[in-house]
Amino acid sequence: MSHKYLYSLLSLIIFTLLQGCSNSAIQEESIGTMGAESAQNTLESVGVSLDPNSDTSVNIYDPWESTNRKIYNFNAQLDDYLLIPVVDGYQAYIPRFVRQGIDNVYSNFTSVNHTVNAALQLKGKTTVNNGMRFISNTTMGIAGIFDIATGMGFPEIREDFGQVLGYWGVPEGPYMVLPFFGPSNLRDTTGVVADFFIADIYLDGFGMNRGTNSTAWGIMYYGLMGVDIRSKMSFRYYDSLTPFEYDMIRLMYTAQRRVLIGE
Amino acid sequence: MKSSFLMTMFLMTLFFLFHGSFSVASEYGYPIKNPLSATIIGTPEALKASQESLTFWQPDYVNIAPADSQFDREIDNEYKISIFPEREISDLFWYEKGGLKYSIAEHDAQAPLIFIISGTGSSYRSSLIKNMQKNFYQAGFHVVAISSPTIPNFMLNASTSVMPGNMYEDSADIHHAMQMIMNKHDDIQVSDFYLTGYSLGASHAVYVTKFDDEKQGERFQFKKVLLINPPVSLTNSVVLLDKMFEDNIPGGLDNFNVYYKKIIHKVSKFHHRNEDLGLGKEFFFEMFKEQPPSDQAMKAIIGFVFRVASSGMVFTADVYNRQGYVIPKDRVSSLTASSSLTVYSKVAFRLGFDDYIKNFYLPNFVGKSGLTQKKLMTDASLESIAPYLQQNSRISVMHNLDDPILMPGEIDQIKALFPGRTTLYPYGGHLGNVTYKQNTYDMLEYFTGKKMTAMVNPANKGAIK
Repeated sequence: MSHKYLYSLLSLIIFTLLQGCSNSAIQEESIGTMGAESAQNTLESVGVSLDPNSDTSVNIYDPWESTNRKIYNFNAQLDDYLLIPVVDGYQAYIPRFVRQGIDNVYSNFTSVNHTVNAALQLKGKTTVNNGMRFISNTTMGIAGIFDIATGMGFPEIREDFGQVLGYWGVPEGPYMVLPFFGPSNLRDTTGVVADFFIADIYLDGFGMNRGTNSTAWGIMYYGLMGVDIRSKMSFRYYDSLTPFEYDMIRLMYTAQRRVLIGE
Repeated sequence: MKSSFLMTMFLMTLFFLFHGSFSVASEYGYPIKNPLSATIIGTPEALKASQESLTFWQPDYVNIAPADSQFDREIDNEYKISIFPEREISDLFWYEKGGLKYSIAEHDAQAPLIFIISGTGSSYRSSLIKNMQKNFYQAGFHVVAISSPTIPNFMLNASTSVMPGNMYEDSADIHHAMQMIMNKHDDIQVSDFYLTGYSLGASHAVYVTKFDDEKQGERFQFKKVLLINPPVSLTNSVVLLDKMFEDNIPGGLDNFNVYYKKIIHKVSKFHHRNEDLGLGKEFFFEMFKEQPPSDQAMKAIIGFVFRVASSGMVFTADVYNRQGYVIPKDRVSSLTASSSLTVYSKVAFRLGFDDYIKNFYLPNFVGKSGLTQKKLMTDASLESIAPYLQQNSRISVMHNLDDPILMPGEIDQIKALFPGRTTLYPYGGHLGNVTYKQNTYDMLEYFTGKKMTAMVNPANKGAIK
């Protein structure tokens, strides 16, 4: 069956979570600037409150920080040794129109997720838009190779399952960094898993991942999808030029999700 | 398959985009008249020099893919060089081990070579450098891109003291790195050396040139040097930038979280009405056309970006030098690759560059150099080497009349320091117009000595020479 790789993904995520829990939460918050001899400048001296609910600084709940940072560094190395070299080759040797076609096909499949997730948030107009997008690109766009829907007035409106959970009031939970996927939180991680289940159902429906080669197929499908997505992002690890990159990304990821969910 | 980082990066540029004050100037065509907007937005893609327009300067040996190529290949290669192989770098900075990073775009022919030094907190692969690198490369130059001595990679791998701020030392470090790089790549066929830099990198370019002129032994003998938007006095500019951040958060820095929430709320409301825009460039473009941010908000953002850079610099200097400035000295050795730095980031974020100069850099350098605080401070201004600059016809300047990092009167100082060698643009803010097409043409004219004919570019006028 086709679920094998999905289960490996799930166990990876659960493993990550457990790792996090076991290491969790020595809050360095109060002791960070105090050694035997405290630093010249401390939270107190610069006027930052130790209370996580205070307004003097932005506090993002990150009880599994130590594990998160390890995974962040793992992702950085994965990028360095695997993803970026592959992406560079992909961009240098695969013509742009082919890459665009591949990107369109993936976007077309994903628009099923976007449709379902819009419906689950009771967004009528967006659901229709995304549904129309899928129908027109699958038919007139020849299995999604060409994006004709945007020109017809159905732009891509992304909706993921994390947003669905947010819409129904599920709180974001602890911040997390997932292997391969990068920044997330408990709610969005659940969303990622749910979106994979949704994808599995429709891919199965199209008969695309059945048969004896389903694992190989899955690796190919998601592998190329990963290359496609990575090639569209200019982000490079440890290129933000600040040693506080982890903190910055945590702040920005959280802000971005709050904007999308409207918290 | 990471969730979209590009978008999150855009959140950082939250208050950045459009002010909407576009109009066509009669002479100089750069469209953004508000210096803060210009600083934040830079040059819209359509107003940069096209590859086609630069063929005028393109020698035969340049092998560059056409702009509409189906294949995306970088013109430059990235490298690392080990300058202090004995130096121990904390595991905290595991990703900086292995050497100073830089990039080279190289021709298979004898050609002039140009070094570009980037500005405060930016690297050899900043978007400004990438753009300049492409233009110079097309015009026939080998191009070597160097990071600012204020970023951790340079500090830990190429800085003698790992305590940036001293123009003489930082520039000698840059010079040393440049020589090591050229020795490593001795197969590059160089006819002459040229040098440029922007913002603080322009100040460094001056001192690198001076160092090279006065040095014994192997020298570059730069043929021409171009300074792009340099500060006149480092101290003045630093104070201006510190204040931009501190004075423009409503309710002060103690209310930073309130401000953060307010921004998210505002962006979220706009997003809710415009879901089809996604959260990318287009979204922010539209948002700022519809709801232009106030000057105060834009100052806060410019200051914020500067503060992010300076807080990282301060932290790196403290970890390496164990000064107990934000990290207790006895805790440094316990920091690992996965240690939480959140507390230090919060403390460093509150300390300005100015505080670092007064309470970290100066006390150390007074002891080290035997010079007084006052002398060290004046050394960081172009006035301190006025006679050298006034007589040195190889050094020219491009600057903007409305650059927000300059104090009133500093433009006149520049004109006096570089008599007849100053090009001033009426608009552009700080670096906003560096990649504007006319600025690119002007740079290429300067370095190649080849004037674009009026027929090729009838609109090429407007700057005050």
